[in-house]
Amino acid sequence: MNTTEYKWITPFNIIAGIILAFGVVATVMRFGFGLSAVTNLDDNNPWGIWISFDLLCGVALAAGGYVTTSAIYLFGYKKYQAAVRPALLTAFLGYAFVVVALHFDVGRPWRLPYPLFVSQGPTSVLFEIGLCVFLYLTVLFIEFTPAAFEWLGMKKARNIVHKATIALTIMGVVLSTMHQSSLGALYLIVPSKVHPLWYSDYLPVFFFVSSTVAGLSMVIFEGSISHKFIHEKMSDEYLGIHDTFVFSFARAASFVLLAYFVIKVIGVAADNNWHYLATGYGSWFLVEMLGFVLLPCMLYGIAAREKNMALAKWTSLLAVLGIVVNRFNVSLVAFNYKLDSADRYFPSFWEIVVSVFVVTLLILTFRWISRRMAIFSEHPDFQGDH
Amino acid sequence: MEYYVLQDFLTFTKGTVYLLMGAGLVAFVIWWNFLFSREPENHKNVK
Repeated sequence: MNTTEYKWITPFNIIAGIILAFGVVATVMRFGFGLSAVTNLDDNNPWGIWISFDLLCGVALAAGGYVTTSAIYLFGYKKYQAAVRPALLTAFLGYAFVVVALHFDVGRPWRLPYPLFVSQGPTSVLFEIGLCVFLYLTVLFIEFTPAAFEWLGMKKARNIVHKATIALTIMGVVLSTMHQSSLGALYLIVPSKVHPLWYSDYLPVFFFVSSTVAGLSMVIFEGSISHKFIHEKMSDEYLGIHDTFVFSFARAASFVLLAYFVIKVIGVAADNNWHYLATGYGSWFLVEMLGFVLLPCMLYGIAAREKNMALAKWTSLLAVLGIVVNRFNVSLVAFNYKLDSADRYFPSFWEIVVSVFVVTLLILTFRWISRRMAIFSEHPDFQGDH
Repeated sequence: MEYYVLQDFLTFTKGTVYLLMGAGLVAFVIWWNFLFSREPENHKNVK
């Protein structure tokens, strides 16, 4: 890239710069003066949006990595090979910044390895999640390294890692299945705190199935954004498969959304919670189920059938929002629903700043890498080498 | 509907769940046909 032609003063860079400046201030406040200086967390609400958004949504929306690699390497959709690296990069950065965001909540970053290497808690669901995220982040890093090795000209190292693709893919699927569902299992310990419409013995199943939708939708959404802003970095091969790839994923997402809708209804029936549907929380539950599950299911189906690209892309945004709404509902809106409204949690300004700061860092890192490495194209030295 | 013993509750809820599962399976087939009915034959195959 010719750096002399690069425009630094753009609306995107200015906004990103302002967010980063606020983020640095929030980081200093958090680590300098503690949680109470920047958050509205208390004994009733020890987990806020840093868990709801950064962790629960972040992990779900990074599911595009295992969904795409398993579709291509395990289920044989090799014609969509060019879509692997963007999905892997999104997943790798998604998980990496989940860990970054977790530091803000947990504090004392130098003790991050303790739960795994010093004082394990093998009977805890949270331990299993921590272990899986640690291992899966390592797997994603290794899966991503061929792009970095190609960029650095390290052919031997790139070829060694490339040979392990199938094994890494299988590990990725296994680890994702475990921790995506375990994030839902976390809430099984608080049956009296989560509203019955969102609490279910099937919460782990709900979280895993919806993570698949999140992964499929995020790959479509991220592809459409990248298409707009880094179009010049995309190879003819990537552009050639893009449309059929989007429609295939839209069709898959539509089918999984229908399955998700059915098991959510079964969840309500299994606990005989029908009468809650006539309450205020019931109305919100119906908004989530009809507006953010059934509607995108229908729209994805129509988009795939009619080959309507714009509809598929807008539906991916709706489906991604649906996942965010669901994770917020389980962990915030329907959580502690019996508390007086004065005791309910609402995030502080600085909590929101930190979440936006982390997302901005992710976007900037994605842009930096995708402009330099062969993410949306094949490296000239490795054409056709899959 | 009121329940006095757990068995009544389970009989009712399990019955509802089984009916919903049956309806779901039928819905999957219908939706699958809807999704793929306009695909050319050569696109239906994985490879």
